[in-house]
Amino acid sequence: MKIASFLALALIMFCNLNAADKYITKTGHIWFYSKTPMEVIEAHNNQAASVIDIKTGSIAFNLIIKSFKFERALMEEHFNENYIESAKFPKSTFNGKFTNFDKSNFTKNGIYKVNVEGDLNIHGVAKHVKTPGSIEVKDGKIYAKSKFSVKPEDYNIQIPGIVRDKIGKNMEITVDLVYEPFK
Amino acid sequence: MKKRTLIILASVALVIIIAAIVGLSMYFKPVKNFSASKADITMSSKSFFEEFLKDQSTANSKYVVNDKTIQITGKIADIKKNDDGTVSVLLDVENPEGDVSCALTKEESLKADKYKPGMTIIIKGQCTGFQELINKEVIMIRCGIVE
Repeated sequence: MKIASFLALALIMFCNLNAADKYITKTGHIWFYSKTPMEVIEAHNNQAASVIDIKTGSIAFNLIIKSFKFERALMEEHFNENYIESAKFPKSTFNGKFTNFDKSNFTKNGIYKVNVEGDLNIHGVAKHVKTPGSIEVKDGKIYAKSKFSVKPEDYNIQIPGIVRDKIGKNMEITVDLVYEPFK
Repeated sequence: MKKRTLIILASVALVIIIAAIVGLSMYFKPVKNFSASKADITMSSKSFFEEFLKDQSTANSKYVVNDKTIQITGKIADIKKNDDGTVSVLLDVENPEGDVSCALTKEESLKADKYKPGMTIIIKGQCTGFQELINKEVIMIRCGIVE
């Protein structure tokens, strides 16, 4: 009996050691899009770093602004120098948590609807945001997707009247990440 | 007199057309091709990494803000294929907590097959900054393999 309980304990400890608490990505894909009759704006960042802690249900992002890739040089220059001021504010961050979500689902294969809530920092301005999303847990990986929009003006990004019609009032932001266990 | 007016009108039209062509080509000019342009700065992955580790904001203004083409020589720590088919090369910096991460362009990713961890590689691209959320990593994008 003693041996059995010892073995059980050893097994539990072994499993705990093996199970990762953190899931990470350093090549997450985040892009933004806006369309007006005058202009389509689109830029992709494939270097988003993010961590999900499945024990606490927290999620963090760290985005290097300069990693946003545009097709056109002038648009990329204006984005960095005039609007988001990447020299002054080189990073955008998010720190939040999954709400209304059973944490044990992180280790069970399936597709789940989730809500995420936390502080989004862009251009040196932090705002509390909430967004729905979905996660798929499949064979030890977590696939996370979400789409939400932000208003540039909310983050103190000044857009001159002369180009205001070219840039959408809302920027649509799409998040598409694949997390792997952190070893 | 009539001929003179015609010449003036034609020259004005020509100037407008040239200005429009120059303006539009500037407007639609694609982003700099970092993997094909001449290197502005050449250094080893180790000393490049150490500059960011020491003082991020100085390194940012030196290498990131001005869109310099950076050429880095280093030993391959890891090489992996991303879900979109592109390849990322991680360069060793003689520090277990860090690396230089180089994202190759789609075209350059096709050349990556013959490279394996442990080999020395020279990579050219755009540096965008320093990631510290997971480990410590200098980020390079739009990269090409020099040799």
